[in-house]
Amino acid sequence: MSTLLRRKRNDGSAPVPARQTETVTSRLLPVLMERIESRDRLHVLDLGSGSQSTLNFFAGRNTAIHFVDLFSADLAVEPPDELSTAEACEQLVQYLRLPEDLVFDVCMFWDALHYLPLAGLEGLSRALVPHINSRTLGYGFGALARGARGEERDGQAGNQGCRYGIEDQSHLKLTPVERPGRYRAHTQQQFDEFFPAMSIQKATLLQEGRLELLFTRG
Amino acid sequence: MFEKRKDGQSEPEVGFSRASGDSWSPSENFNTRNAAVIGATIRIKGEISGDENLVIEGSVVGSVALKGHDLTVGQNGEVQADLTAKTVKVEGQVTGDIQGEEKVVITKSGRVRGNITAPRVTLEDGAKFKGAIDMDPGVEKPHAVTTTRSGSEAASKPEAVEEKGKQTAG
Repeated sequence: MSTLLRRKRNDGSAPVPARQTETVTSRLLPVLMERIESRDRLHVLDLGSGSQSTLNFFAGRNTAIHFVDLFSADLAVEPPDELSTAEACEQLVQYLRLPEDLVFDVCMFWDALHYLPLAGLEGLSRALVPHINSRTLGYGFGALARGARGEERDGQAGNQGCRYGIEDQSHLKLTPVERPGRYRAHTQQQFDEFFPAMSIQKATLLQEGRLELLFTRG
Repeated sequence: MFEKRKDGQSEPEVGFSRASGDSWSPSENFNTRNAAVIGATIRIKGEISGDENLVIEGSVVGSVALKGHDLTVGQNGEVQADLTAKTVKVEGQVTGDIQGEEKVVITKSGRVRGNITAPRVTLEDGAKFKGAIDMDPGVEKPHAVTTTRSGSEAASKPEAVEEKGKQTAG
């Protein structure tokens, strides 16, 4: 079992996993799973493109998983130069197309939030507000603004990201994929300011300045 | 309009082909032998129902109901319809809800926007899916989509499907 996200791109941008599918250990996923263990029915928002391992993981539970590939959204792939939060919110509401009365127990953000510009991040926050409550938990990754050697972790070129799946209670399956958008490495301060819908309750520092994040309702 | 695929018959001219390296084979769960085929140049708007297997390589807008049989949306298939079948395999594009009595498979070339209800769902690596998958182990197949659909008819009901006529496969 390897540690999470161990290789660093030579352009100084966000660290990426080895270029083959691997299973990695998570420290905060068990925390999240423990908190939702007693819930009878789960509504899960997965902002990735869909993962068989995630499906398999939840198959034994009474669960509805909503897959919305935020990585492929226009706002993530090619955001306009000038974008207001209201415009971003409107675009994301249209893109998410979530049921009006649906409230999620879990939001799996993965890396997706970092592919949005700040206006997009704030827009997503507004778009999610009707669909989260005090019981909603979020999970994702972050990156320190600067690495240990001071290099920027804001990717400039095409990204070598990965598709995430839940292997079991404490392990993730990472499959390398090319991401057309740009990884922006939002800081915790930026999350506090531009993603008020949820706040970071726990953060675990991983290798290469990588963070594993647990969100709760802000 | 519909072509029959027979054992040992060469692939139809209009676009039914299987990608090399496909992890699925007809002998596993889906039966495309002797299946009716909607060819790549065929456009259908309306309701399709039948009592045999069907392969869609063309364009269908409306609904497809093949209870107890297998439905395959081939790589060239473009479907804006709710699909119901024993097993549903998507290699092409589907916008609409899919109900599989036994299984739904989205292959690596498949693109689905809609909700899936099925006891078993397979998403191959590379498959694109946007919508909800409802899994309720307490309910016999097919699993109900109640909560998901009630709130929203979710991510993608086909818009403004105009039903004209009724087309029966086979």
